[in-house]
This record gives sequence, C-alpha cells and structure tokens, in this order.
Amino acid sequence: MLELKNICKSYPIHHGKSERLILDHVNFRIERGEKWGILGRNGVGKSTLIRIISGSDLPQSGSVTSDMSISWPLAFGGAFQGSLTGRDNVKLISRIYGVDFHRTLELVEDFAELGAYLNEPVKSYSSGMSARLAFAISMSVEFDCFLIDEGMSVGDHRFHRKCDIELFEKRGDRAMIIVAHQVDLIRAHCDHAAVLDKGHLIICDSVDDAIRMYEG
Amino acid sequence: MIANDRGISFLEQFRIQKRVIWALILREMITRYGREGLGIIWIIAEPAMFIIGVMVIFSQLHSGEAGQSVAEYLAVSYPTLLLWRNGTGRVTKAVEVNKALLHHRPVRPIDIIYSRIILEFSSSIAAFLSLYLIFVTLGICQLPADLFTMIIGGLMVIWFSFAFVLTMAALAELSDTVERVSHIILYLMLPFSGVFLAAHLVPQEYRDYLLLFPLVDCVEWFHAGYYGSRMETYYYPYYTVVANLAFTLFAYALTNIAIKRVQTI
Repeated sequence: MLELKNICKSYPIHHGKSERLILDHVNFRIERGEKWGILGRNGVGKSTLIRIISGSDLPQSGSVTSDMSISWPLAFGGAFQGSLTGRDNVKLISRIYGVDFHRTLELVEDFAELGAYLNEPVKSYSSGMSARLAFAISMSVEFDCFLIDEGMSVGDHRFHRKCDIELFEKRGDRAMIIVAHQVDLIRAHCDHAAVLDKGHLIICDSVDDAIRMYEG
Repeated sequence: MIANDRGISFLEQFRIQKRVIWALILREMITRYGREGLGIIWIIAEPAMFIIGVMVIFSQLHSGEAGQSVAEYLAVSYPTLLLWRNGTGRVTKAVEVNKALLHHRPVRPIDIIYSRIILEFSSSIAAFLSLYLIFVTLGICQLPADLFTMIIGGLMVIWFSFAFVLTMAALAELSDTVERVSHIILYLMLPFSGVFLAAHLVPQEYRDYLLLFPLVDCVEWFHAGYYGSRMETYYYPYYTVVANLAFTLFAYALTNIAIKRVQTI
C-alpha cells in the first residue's frame, strides 16, 4: 500500500511574493500489484507528484505512507551524474542500494547495449543511450512499486519492446504508477487511472473513463 | 512525514547510512579528481600545495620570534584553517545541486553534506600529516611536546570546523545572500581563527575577549600540544567543549530547517 493524504504543494512565483498551488489536497491510494495511470497536460504537476511519491520533495502539508519499496522514476536520467561514466553510475547505484556490482554491471551491459560507451561520461551519450542506461540500471534493483515517467517514450522500437518485456512481463506482479501526457502507455498497461487537472487528482472508474475525460 | 519502508531498526538505518555516505564519497572523489593525471593523489596534493605556498611566502615576509620559525608555525597552524575554510566552500548548495540524488530512497539530504565534509576533512588532515612527517624529517618541525594534548586539540579544531561548516551549509541553503557573502565571512573570520593572531600576541586585557571565540581556544589547545613550553598558549578546556557542543546543536537544528526547506520548495 502507498497512500497520499491531503497533499498540498505550491511553488513561489514572482520572486517569492506569491504562490502557485500545484497540488490541492491530493488523495491517492495504490495497493500492491495495481497499475495506475495518471494523465495530465504539461505543467500540471505530474512531475511534482512523482517527486513527492519518490520522496525527493516534501509536500507543504499532508502525508505519504507506504509499506512498499518505491523506485526512482524509471528512465529518469536526472538521477545520474553526467560527469561520471556509465560504469561509475552503475557502481554508485549498486553501492547506494547495496546490490552486487558485478551482477548489475553484467545486466546493464546486456540490456543497454552501450558497448565501449559504458566507459565514457554519461554527458556524451545520446538521449536514447542515456534512456537505455537509466532503464537498465533501474531494472537491477528490485522494487515493490515502480514509478514511470513519460521519459520512457524516448528510444527506438527495439528498446521499447525490451522495456515492455522487462517491466510489464517479467515484473508484471509489481505495482506501477505511470505518469504521462500521452494515453498510449496508460491504455496499454494500466488497470486504474486518474486525471490531474488544476491541482486536483480525479480518480476515474475505469481507464477508458479517464482517457475520455482527459481528451474531452 | 514519510513513513519508513518496513519500519527498519536504528541499527539497520545506521548501516544503510554508512553505505550511502561511502558511495557518495567515492562518487565525489571520481567527479572531482577523475582518473586521469595525478587523479586521487590530488586529494593530498591540492591542500599540500596550499600549505607549502603559504609557508614560503610568509616566511619571506616575516622573521619569527625567538625559538620558532614562521615556517614551522604555519606548518602546524595553517592546516586548521583549511578545515573550516575549504570545507565551507564544498558544502554550500551541495544539497540543492544534488537534489536529483534524493529520488533514491536510501539517500538522505544530510548524507550529501556528510560525504562532502568527510572527504574535505580527510583531504586536509591527510595533507597535514604527510607534510608534517616530511617537515620533521627535514628539521623544519619538531616532534610534538605532548602528543596526547596535540591530538585532543586537533580533535577540538575538527569538531569546531564540523559545526561551522554544517552551519554555513544550512545558511547557504536557506539564503542566497549568505551563499554569496560566504567568502567574505570566511575572510573576516581570519583574525579570529587562532592562526594569524595567536593569543599570546594579544594584550592581556583583550585576550579573554579573543578567547570567547571557541576556534581560538581549539587552535591554542592544538598549539599547546605541539609547542609545549616553547610557546605561551591560552585556552579554557571546559569552555571549549561546552561551546563546541552548543554550536553543534545549533548547527543541527539549523540544518534540519534548511533541509526541510530545500525539499519543500
């Protein structure tokens, strides 16, 4: 279970003279194994919501409770260090989470197909390459609940297919929260959905309802 | 506010934190020094070059008092300055810059600060110790008059520097103004650092005011261990410990506020 209760979050604007409310008393609950899609237009606060769930940001009020381990946003390149090589990033993550480095490195080499680039700084990677590295590293730590940002949409067809197999087939029993402004990923993989609009999170009865509401 | 995954014990928490801090230290070492050229050796080489440079310049400018050379004085004094001065430079805005790391649940904001402080302090201390041994061999420095007192004094300097650096880290996260003027604060601290103005050089009626700055007491304590009877030193051990303790508590309180703010805004 992961539960968000009355989450409020605002950001200062006009040099701190006023505030813009991004999340207005957001309530959300996800059980083990559930796949949730959250739809929202650009700038509506999807990433803010993800940051609060992942724990990197704190809400101004409200609480986050969880008895599941939660991943960092998948394919999110920002959690890596540009000046480090792919290999050093793998090392950092294995150390932080206490997983075996050599096993992880093998997995990443095999999945990300970066070849010799693994020993080059991440900042020299193409966006497709960094997405592959980020995703591969994410798969090396096991979580109960995966956070998926739309970043997954970069990369070619082959990469998408591999991600689908790793994430939705091999790890189909885990909980997932997919946040996107496009409906495809959510239509394909989710069994619950909500729409984020004007600071409110509206929980819908079905994924189709949510898509209709979002596109309407 | 965020309930812990699976309510883990304090000991487990401590183990995780140790692992995370170590991971961050190693990461920082590679990002800062790289693998090319001198690489990791820079950890010692950089502060060592600083100390030697200062020793060379000042010993040309001043002639020492009877019985002690300027070079010797700086070799054992200047490194104390590196701790709080360079340390502060490394921690300002460290959390904000590395905020993306907080997406990883095991990483707590203070771990980022700890890792930088530990790396910076180890670097300065390692540089001091290696240079000191070399200087003793060359005859520029002597063996400590009272090793135990010198070690305790050194620990006091480290303790004060830790609280100071933590406070500056918190203030810099809280206010851009403080971050901008931090090098001015650092510069204006120099007269009260115990390095450029030793307590015995100050007229007696002002000495106790100077010793209100705990850093001066710490450095004097350190000097007392090194010089023994070769130099007049003044410090209040109880005051030093109590002041450092109070300063540390203050630093932690401020850090908690700062971290909460960085994560909230």
